[in-house]
Amino acid sequence: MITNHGGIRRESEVAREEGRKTIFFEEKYGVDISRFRSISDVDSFVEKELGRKLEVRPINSSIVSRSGNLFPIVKYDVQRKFRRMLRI
Amino acid sequence: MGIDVTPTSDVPQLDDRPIKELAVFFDMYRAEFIPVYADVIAFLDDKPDETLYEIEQMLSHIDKVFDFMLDEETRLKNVDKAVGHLERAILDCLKILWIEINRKVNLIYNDGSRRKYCVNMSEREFTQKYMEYNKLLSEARRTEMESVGVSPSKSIPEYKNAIRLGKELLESIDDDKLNNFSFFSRVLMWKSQALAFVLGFAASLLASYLYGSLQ
Repeated sequence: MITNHGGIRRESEVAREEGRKTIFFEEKYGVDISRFRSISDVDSFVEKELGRKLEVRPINSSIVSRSGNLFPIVKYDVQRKFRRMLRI
Repeated sequence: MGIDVTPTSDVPQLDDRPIKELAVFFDMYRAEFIPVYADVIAFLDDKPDETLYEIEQMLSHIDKVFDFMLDEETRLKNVDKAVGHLERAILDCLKILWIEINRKVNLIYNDGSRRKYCVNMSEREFTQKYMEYNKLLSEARRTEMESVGVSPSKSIPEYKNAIRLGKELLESIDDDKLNNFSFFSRVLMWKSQALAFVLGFAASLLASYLYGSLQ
């Protein structure tokens, strides 16, 4: 049953009834999340769908924790540097 | 060629308490973390760095659970620490979704014309849902702050509910209308600037003519 909260329809209740575990993923890709057992399963599936490798994106916000990390993050493409050094 | 691994500790026993406790961690990892992680990836089409830091921390604690040189109590504490990082990773994923949804929805909400013409619901309904969305987020944040050090995961269902409502707001934004609106806004801006230029040019011509005729 979809309930109204002061005229506001709650999509969350619809999603719960349909048993959807994700908010965006299953709807976007039309798959069942229970098929995915690890982050590498998710990554490789999305990479296949996008046709490219996933990049690491910095999220700068005071709301998200930094997990005790004090050091700046350096983007380092080891394979490319290695190939360049060996002139392959 | 494989890596030669020489065991430095005893073989783990199935009745080992820390390893049994670790099963709870992996249940939570698969049941709670993977879905929110998948949501962030689906939303960003990239991997957020914050989540990776938490995963790094989790691995270091899981490693200690399997270190049989340590006493059972220390290994059990490391299970708790790994669970703590997992809970924070779940919360981080939800907060990243919150930040990204806000970034998009605020662009519309803070612009009266876009709110009126680029959304597939009445302005009143959009505003009402936006207020409700912010209220749910504030409540989730309050629950999280109140349960710091006790149970950070208490606020997870509240964040999820708020994000579901944020998704509805996002879905109500009509991209075609938004593109058309941006295009026609630019056309109108150029038109008004061209008109101002023509009027300014005509006024200066008239002023020079009047000045010339008066002399």
